[in-house]
Amino acid sequence: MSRLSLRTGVHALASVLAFAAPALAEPLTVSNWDGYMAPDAIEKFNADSGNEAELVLHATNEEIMGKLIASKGVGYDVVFVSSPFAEVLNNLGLAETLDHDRIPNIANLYAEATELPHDPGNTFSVPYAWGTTGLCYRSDLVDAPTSWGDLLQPAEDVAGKTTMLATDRWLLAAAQLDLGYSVNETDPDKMKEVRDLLIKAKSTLLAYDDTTFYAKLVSGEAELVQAWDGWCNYGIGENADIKYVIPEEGSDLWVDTMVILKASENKDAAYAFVDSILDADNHRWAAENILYKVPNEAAMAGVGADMLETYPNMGMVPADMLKFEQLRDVGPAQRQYSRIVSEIKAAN
Amino acid sequence: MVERNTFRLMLLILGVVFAFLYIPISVLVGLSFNEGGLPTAWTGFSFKWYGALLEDSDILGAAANTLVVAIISTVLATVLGTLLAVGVEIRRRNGTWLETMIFAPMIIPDIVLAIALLSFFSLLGVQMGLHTIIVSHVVFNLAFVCAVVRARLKNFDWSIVEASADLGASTATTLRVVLRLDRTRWRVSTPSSRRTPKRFWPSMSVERPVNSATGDPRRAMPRATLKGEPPLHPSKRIPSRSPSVTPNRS
Amino acid sequence: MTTDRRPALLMAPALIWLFGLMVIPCVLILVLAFFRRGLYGGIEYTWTLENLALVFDPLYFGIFLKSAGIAGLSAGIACVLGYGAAYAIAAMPRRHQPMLLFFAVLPFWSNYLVRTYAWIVLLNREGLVVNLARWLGFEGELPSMLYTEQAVVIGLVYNYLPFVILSCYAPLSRLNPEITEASRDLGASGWTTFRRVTLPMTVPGIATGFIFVFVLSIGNFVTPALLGGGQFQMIGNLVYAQFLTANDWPFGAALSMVLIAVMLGLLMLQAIVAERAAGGRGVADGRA
Repeated sequence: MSRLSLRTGVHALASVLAFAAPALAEPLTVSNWDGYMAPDAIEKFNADSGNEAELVLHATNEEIMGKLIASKGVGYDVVFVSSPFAEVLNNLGLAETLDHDRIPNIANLYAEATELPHDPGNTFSVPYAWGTTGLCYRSDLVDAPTSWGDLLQPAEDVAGKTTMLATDRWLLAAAQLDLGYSVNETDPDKMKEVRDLLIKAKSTLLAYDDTTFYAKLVSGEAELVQAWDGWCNYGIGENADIKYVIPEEGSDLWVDTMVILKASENKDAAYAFVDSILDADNHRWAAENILYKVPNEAAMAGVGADMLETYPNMGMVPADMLKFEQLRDVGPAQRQYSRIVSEIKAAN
Repeated sequence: MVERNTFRLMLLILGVVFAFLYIPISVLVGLSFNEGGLPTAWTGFSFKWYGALLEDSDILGAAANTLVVAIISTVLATVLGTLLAVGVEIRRRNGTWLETMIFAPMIIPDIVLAIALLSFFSLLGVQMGLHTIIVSHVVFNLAFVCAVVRARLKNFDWSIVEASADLGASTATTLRVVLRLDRTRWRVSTPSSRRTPKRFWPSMSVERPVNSATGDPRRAMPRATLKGEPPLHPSKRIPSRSPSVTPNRS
Repeated sequence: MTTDRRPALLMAPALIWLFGLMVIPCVLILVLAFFRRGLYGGIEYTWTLENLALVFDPLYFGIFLKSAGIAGLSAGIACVLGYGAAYAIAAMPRRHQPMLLFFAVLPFWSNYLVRTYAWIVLLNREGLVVNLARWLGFEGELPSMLYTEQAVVIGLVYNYLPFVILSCYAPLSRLNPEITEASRDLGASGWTTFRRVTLPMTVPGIATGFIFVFVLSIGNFVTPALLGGGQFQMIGNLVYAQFLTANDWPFGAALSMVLIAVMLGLLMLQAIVAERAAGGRGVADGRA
């Protein structure tokens, strides 16, 4: 094949790709974290419903929020975001007001999941997964920790082998809980204390890590980390010595939700997608794959006993979870939070 | 210039630097054959990860996308960048604004450029896709191509272009000849260099002696080589021993 | 030689592309620096200079200075190593030089992330460097070399070293051996010849290399994020955070503006140095 025809061919292909996209029916665009749904969830939905859903990934809430704000919600149909950000989407008018008649499976949810502080009645968001944040550790290398202080001011043999979550809200939450403050605290003086505690904690920290901390636990590079319960389960799956515990000061209650965007042009498909996720079997399959708890009563009832034994935190009941404070949007104080995190990271 | 001890020292320096450059990559390649998944313990030799790679449709799909983007954006960037470089070098006297605009893509932080283009495309209602990625890559790559080609063109003998025009060639032909010459000038230049054909980067180490009578005086380069280059044919040797090569410059 | 219109025609497509797809979008974003961040991260269109003022706040300016320090250190180390390598390559037999140069630059063609991950593998506490030390008999707990400033510097040097080698090689390869010969004939030692003859003549290559590595390092956010363990922010991370985490685009735009201005200043400085060196070289080459 001559160089010329290869080049022409590639150009032609690209042009086709470029111009064909708007010409075809618009696929349903769903944005989620990587590995946060069952691997075949999208294919199954497409096969069952005849739609063409497409999954795009976002690494953090802030990333998808930035894109949505920049494009005013255009380009996405359903997004998975944590509850504070769902609140923001609603405040900005980007979230569709949900018609529950089009989501019959919403009846599968726990009663508690329909009255969550951030969205009572699920008017703009539907919870997808929920859980706690606690300490994940190697039981063969360290004694079981009991307090957030064990992470923030670790014993000498553990110092330098700890990590904390890098995302603003959870990074600060560890100190907020340790000091007994609210995880949605806005009082500047209290936040200064939080900041100072975290700056001190930095000197014994190995790294801030959102995604590979369980691998560090498995390899032994770290011995005690701050972790979401589901992520800790990934570590438990690889090394049975890894255990998860919620410190005595408590945890936060985080809820990841599905939001349909008002700017979506495929509302029918979007509703069908949300409904299919909430189906008891699908949601149970999701939980078994991502190792997180789901707020779907019908689904959790079907989770196998052996799974609950291997991953004890999956068996936590909603009543216990609701004891913890849910992360909410802090409004104008968000800027204060960002600055505090910058100060912590810039400190030596 | 190069004595025994100095030569050994040079070899040592090269050895150290090359080790620094290649050990990390070799380690990664070595670890790709590790049986276990963690990079911290070697558990045995295995090809299984390559097998897993070939079966992972996500990665293969991403690789295909990357190839498409790379090929198309490279072609576009090379064409545009070369034209830009040639145009800029012909024009010779360029304003600071022009120079700044040409350099700018390399110094604007990628995140700013990315966010700017995202907002811009949203504003225009353009749907995101491979085409927007390609278009954005060209912006950045074009500047690099331009810089590289300009660096080469600085040593270029524009008398060839003049000669070509004098002989009646059209602009298009001249451009083709110019670009082609630049790549393979060792084939066209002095007999001496023909004795040692360069296999890798032909134009890297051959210094064509400039005949100042026809060469652009402002571009006359001092004839500089390191020892070891084959001696020039007597007829091509520059008369004076001094490296100055502009006896005809007024 | 050419009509007046031909250069313009040649440059036109590229310039239109750059103008429409770089200048305009960037101006649109940078102009946000003069507006205020909305409550939830949007833009409030009230004119204000507070974002620019915030850039010079001790916290953020400190981050700027620290980034400049790390970038400068990386550029300096890269220049020392790169110049040494380039000098060694230029000293090799001419027929080997292209190949050596090719191999010196080859790592530059591998993927940036892959090169950075290689260092994570090497430096982490259970990694190869530590295992090597243990094998050599070192006992006890080694402090982690990863997730530190040193690791970031190593990563930056590693990533940009081939570039410096290339840029230092150019003037070195064009050096006239007759001058160094003359210097030795006049009685100067090898070291003095190097210091007072070779080095000054090849300064443009070093300057180019230094400034490009500096500019590329200071805006870099991948290496500090990966090799620094998120423990400290360089200006690149800060800008990234403003745009994608804190959703404070006005402040991010203000930071970018100052950063771009600094980089532009340095590039202009480099252009001046290069020009002066090119002009001055005439004297150094023995031109009367």
